[in-house]
Amino acid sequence: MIHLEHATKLYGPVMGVNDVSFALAVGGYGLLGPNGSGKSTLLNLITGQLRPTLGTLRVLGRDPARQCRVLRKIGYCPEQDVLYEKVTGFEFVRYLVRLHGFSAREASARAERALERVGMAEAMHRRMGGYSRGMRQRTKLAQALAHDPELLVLDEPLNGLDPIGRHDMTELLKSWIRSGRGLLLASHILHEVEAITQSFLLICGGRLLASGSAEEVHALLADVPNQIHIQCDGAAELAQRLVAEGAVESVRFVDGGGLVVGTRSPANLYARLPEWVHDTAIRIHQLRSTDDSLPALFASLLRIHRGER
Amino acid sequence: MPIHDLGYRAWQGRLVPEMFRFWAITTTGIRLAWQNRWLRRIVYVTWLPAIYLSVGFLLYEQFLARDIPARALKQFITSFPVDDSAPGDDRHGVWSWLLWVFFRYPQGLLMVLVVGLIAPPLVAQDVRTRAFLLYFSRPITRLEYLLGKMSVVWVYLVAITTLPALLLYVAAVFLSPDFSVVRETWDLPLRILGATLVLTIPTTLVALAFSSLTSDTRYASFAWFALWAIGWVTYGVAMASLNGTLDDRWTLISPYHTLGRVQSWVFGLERGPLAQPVLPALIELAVLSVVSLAVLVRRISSPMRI
Repeated sequence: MIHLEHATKLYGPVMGVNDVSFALAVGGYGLLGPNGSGKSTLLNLITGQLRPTLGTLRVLGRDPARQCRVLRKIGYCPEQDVLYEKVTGFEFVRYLVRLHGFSAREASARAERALERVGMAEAMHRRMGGYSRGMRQRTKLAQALAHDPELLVLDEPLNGLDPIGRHDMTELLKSWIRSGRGLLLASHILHEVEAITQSFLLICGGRLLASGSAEEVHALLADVPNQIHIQCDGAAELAQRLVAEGAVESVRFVDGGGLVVGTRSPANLYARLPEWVHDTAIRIHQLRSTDDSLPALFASLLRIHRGER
Repeated sequence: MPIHDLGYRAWQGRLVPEMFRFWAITTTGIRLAWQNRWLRRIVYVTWLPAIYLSVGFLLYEQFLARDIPARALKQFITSFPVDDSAPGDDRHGVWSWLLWVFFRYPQGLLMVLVVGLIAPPLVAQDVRTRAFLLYFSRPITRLEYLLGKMSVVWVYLVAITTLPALLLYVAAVFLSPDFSVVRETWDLPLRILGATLVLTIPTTLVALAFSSLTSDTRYASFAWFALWAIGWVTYGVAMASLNGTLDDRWTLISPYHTLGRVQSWVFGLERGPLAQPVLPALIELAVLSVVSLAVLVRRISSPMRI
């Protein structure tokens, strides 16, 4: 479906995408990376809006920048708001479908179906100037779906959606993948992507840091100490106990009474912690893993890439 | 047991031929522009001069039939090129002149207004909304995009200049004594098309270039009207200060007068020993068009380039 070989994109002296190679078969993939990591540049390469400075890129067997007719098979939802205030959502989607070569009648039917599919049936004939952020996001998604592409490329498609909207879109995208079509979804929120697909591409600083299933990514991180924040009374006593038990790699005291500990086996720590604090004056108020967030994941991956493991 | 493929199935219907993809951009642009109440009013008004000039054709045919004197024609239009002392049958020349007057004066001014209302938002709003991301992630080339946008302006310009001019010609044929006049004036419809090209190509390109340079429609409108107004005023002031003895080459400072010069050449009115060379005006329009096209292409491509 998508094949990149040493693809590099330079913006003058700035590296947008740095020597990225991968081959994706048909299916759903999450492109994860913090803001400014090169996700949008990579998507713009895939949708033919940019040409790689170095390397090659093929989407559905074609070079999208040189053979723009392959874009007929791609649906793209950019991150930015593309809003025409004076036209209705229906007119907007119909217009964009017509650019694919559909007749006006066919484009109208497709626009209507796509807008209904994303939950915009009620508001599709209202001007877009009056749309909420979530409605604009749904309309943008509708224009990407309406021409029934083989590959859907979405850049932060769940931004601005309320929880119900997120759930609806998540179900829609899961059914899209189940129907045998391709999906590449860029996001900087791990759980959003995990809810839709279990295949990840992790990108940071324009480089592809890791790829594979959720299990593979977790396995990759198994040897990296997890950071756990423990908010408690009696932090010194707890630290002493944890070090004595050999349960942690590092201990750091934080302001406000608490510890940040580093451990390679967080599950073991979670399981045995109640036993260690039982019958002591230690009171644990809060326990949370600081590695839950994507930045921590990428920090860990970058440490691996720098050989600091 | 048969195994059914329930996966993705490509659409098997017919698509619009690729060479007409730009038309979707054009028709949408035309429809959106037509929502402007002021544009609708001006377009309706643009047909009035054609009705007025059709009377000119009628009077001229009566003059040829010796039914009315040249004085009556000059009351209609002061500079009507007829003379009682030499009532030669120069139907081709007079019809050309009337059609040129139509292009040059009423339509030349109304064109500035119409283009000033249509063109500024055409590219500027796509710059503002970053719609290039959506256009060029579809099977649309930058050239097709440009063609689609330019065609919006062309359609309106054809509607306010070419169509009424052609109808004016047809009306003139019907007002003449018999259809043999077609043999004499067959080239005028072609000259109308030539004058249309001279009018539409540079004006459209310049207007869209202004539109592409800003995300604010008002700036593009201002630049468009300023171009014509400053050129006109500068030429007028120069003429006045030199008591009308200005060299004709000075028309090049005014786009309006440059267009008029080329159009008069297209209609065959620049003849005789006193005719001024039209080449400088043609070169100016060509340079203006090429520079505007280069700006447009650069601006349309630049959102994806750093």
